[in-house]
Amino acid sequence: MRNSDRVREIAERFYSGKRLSFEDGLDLYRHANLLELSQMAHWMRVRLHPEPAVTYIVSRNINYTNVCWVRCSFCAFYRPPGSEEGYVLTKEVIFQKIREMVDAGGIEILIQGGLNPRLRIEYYEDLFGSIKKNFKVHIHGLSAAEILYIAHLSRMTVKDTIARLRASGLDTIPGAGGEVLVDEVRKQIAPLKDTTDEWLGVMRDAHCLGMRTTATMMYGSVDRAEHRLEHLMRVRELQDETGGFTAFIPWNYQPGGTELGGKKTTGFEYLKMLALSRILLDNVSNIQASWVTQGPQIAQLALRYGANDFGSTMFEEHVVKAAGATFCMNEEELKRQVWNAGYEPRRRNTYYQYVN
Amino acid sequence: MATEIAQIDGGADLLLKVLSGERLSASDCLRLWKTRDLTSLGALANLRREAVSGNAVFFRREVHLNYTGLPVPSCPLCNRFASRRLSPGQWERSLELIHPDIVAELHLTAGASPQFGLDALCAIVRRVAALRPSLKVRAFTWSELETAAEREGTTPDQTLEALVEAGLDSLAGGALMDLTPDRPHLVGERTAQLERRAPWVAAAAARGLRCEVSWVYGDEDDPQWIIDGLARIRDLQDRWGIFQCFTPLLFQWPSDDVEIPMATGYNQLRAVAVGRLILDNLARVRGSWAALTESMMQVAFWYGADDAGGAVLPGDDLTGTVIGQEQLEELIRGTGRDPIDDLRLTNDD
Repeated sequence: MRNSDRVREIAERFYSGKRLSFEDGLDLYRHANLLELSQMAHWMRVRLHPEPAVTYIVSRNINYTNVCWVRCSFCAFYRPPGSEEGYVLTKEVIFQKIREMVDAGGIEILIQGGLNPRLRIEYYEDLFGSIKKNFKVHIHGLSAAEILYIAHLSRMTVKDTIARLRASGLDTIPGAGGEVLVDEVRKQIAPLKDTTDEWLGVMRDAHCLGMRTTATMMYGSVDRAEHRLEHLMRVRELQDETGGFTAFIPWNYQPGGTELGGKKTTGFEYLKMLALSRILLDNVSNIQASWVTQGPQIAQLALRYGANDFGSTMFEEHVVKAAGATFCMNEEELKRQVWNAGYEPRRRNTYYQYVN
Repeated sequence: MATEIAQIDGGADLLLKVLSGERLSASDCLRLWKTRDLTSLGALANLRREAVSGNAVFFRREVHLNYTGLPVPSCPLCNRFASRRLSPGQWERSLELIHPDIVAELHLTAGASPQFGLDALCAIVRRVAALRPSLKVRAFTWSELETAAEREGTTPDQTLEALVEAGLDSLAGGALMDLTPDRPHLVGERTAQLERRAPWVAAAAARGLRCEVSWVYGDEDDPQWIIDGLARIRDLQDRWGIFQCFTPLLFQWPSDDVEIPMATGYNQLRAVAVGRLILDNLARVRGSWAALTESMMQVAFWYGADDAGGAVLPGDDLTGTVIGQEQLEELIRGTGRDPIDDLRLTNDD
């Protein structure tokens, strides 16, 4: 079959409402042109979100510690234990950051750090509990790797760890650290980090406890197209099982200042991956555009490649900034971008429900 | 793709026009500019683009030289190369470093200075031709030409005749109107300026000189104003046919004092796609990395653009290596398009 015929055949099946396979996805990646991907992704977006609105959240990223022993070669943010540049933010500093955000109308903190051997579950329980006592904010926090490590340090099961964190105030878990959910890739870029099954296991446990999480993908390091497609399939399978993912957020590896180094994939590749995510993840409601890694122009175009969400206004961000992503956007600019694309900007909460 | 185009307002009609090669009206293009359906706009522009250039993306091996070091009032792109004033000795030494097998064209534009009359411009062209006879010389914006002619009291025709004799191959041209930091002022006077330059276009046509043409828009300009300007370029091209390549450019002024809204990705692609559709008499539409970023350039190749601008090459201490040929070809191939060296093509003709 000619490549163009194969793309047409896949598209016809897709537009009739059928779910596409791994092989379909790979053939679209290889042979569909940019406009075909845009059209298919947008079709799915309209099917799931017919209203012409683009959501975003007013929230703040707080990186409570940069101490991390895992030494992922793609990361420019961490400092190993013992480093003079390592820090753990004090409660006072964290509260100050939250107060500033609340005063500016923010409703969510995204709190993430590293795998710091000095911080056990009691630290987190105390932190989350006191945040909840002082502020009416949603805590979107930690990651699979942090939770696995807290469980390990505290000699608890993952499920019990999540349950205790939740009882202390943790509301939802970001799907960070998904990287590419293929062990062949993870072993190369983060040999000491959790495996694919461990990552998925944390998400499954959280979902089973009734918590929602997001899922992410960081592609473009050593991975090939097959790996990325496999990642999408793993997320889709778990979502079929639990329905616990609120959103999927892909972005590309940011090589600046990292040990792994290498070249950064372009925004063109990003739009392709974003569209394929939307096309294949028919059971994940929201796809988020990453303006912090892609810049405002590509992020705005992402709204025609499957994204229905613009992420966070993000008061501060330190992780991808350490690797050279330096884009920033305030709420007014974010709204201008959304209007310019022909959509109504709507504030949302962490569950992707509209708020005023 | 065709079904979705048919869904935009009057889309079926527009699709028929594009498929049959019929000319779109200004109001057709205004409707397209305003559509939310950027994919369909891109698909329409891509139909025209592929009819003209197939799967090719053209680029040139060029170096830039700004001999006055002053900002170029009609071109935000050329302003990237306006940094320091070069003495004749300095730029001549730089030219000597250029490897003739690697670089094919010299892009010579500068902010006009009353110190550079027609004789001075001719002398520069002659010197370049003597130092590097294999280089094609694409030089001078309308404002440099006007300044030189004014100083010398020559007509457009006499001015261009002298430059062609000195060895000029083609004109840089650029936008048909100059920019000022005070954009509203510019918008008010644009028609007069554009009409003043029409005789230059006619004179260039009479001398067989071809040139590039750009349109500089602000992110918050009235679309009607943008479309009117593009329609005027189409009229001039119908009459004189000297424009080789159209470049939509977002207004940028080389100063931190002037705050303008950042270009949106949508508007950048609207300008490329609508430019392609309205300028049906012009072969090339440029989406260059220098104007758009590498990522947006790649995307633009599917929204009507078939030209990547120049690979600015190493061995050139005037500009530093910005993006080399190999890297540019790789970026073009990464989009599924085929890179074609423009000047090699011309020389083989």
